[in-house]
Amino acid sequence: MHIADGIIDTRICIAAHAVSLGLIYLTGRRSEPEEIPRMGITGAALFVISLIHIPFAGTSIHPGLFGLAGIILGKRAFAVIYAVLLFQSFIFQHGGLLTLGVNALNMGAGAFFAVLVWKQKYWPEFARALLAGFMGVLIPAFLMAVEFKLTGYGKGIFLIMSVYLLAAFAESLVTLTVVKFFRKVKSDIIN
Amino acid sequence: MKKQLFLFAIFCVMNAFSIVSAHGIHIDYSFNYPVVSLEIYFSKTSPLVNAGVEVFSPHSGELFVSGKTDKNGNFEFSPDGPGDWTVKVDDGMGHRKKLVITIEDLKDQLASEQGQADESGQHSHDHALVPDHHHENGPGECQIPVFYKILFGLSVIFGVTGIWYGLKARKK
Repeated sequence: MHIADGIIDTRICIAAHAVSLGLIYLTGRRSEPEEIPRMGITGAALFVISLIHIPFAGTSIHPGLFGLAGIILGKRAFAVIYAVLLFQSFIFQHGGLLTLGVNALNMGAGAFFAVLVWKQKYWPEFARALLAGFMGVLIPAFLMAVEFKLTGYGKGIFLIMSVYLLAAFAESLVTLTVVKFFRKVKSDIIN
Repeated sequence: MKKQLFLFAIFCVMNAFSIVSAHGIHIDYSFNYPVVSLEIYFSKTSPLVNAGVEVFSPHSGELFVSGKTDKNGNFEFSPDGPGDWTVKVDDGMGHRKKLVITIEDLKDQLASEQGQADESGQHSHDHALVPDHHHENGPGECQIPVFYKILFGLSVIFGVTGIWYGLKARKK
């Protein structure tokens, strides 16, 4: 899901960087001191979990927990995802620096959707957690597949979505488990 | 309750460290005249199957040969001269890797080896030089273990968070 450099057109990458920086300002400003440790710990979890490599269908997929990040951090998730991608790009060459903005927008969209779902308080909590985790993977994968299609690259939307569908199912279950755990031991983290 | 949370965090971190393997394409190559063999993988246990490989000539920069990796993630090509050969690997799913392989002057190297073999009275069976096996970061360069990279990343994240928290708390 981390798009490497050289695939997306440079002008689009620069535009995506500009949009990302604007979104970081909008979603990150006026953060309270109490929120910052939560952002740091969630960022650390995202940083490590994205490095877990699962070989599948001739490629490699990994958990992202963007849905869970949206549930825990709300709109602040975007700035955290951007920072995590920046570190991964520098330290592991995992995703390109030029495509950082595109990657952040793709994965941030998954987290934003999770925020929207999580706010639907009249839905059962388990359904919200499952849907947030599921779409937290599927939306970034769909956006990535569409970008590949538009640039004439890759193996096609259908194959990409098929590969990430399994990851989305797995991640929805992980998200539900973590939400249930937090509800039991420290409920205010996910409120 | 806090103890449970702490234990859960420790459990997650320990599990993550045990199965983490820096997601991304890695290339090992060996040179056994006249063939360069590439071993392409996501991790040591997961070869990159059916991925596109393009090799570019050092002289013209034009495409020299292209193809796909086999079921073991291997690909071979025979360079026609010395220079910096550029290899590009792409799995079509957004993962891409570029590697430059420097090939020394093959004829000189071969001639000197054959000369040495003749002088010592040994018969040189074929063109095979001793296989020269390299990781993608090249000989002589150190490869930092993933574990240390993760620790470094986490240290930076927690460091930045701590400084930011300190500044915010002071303002309050």
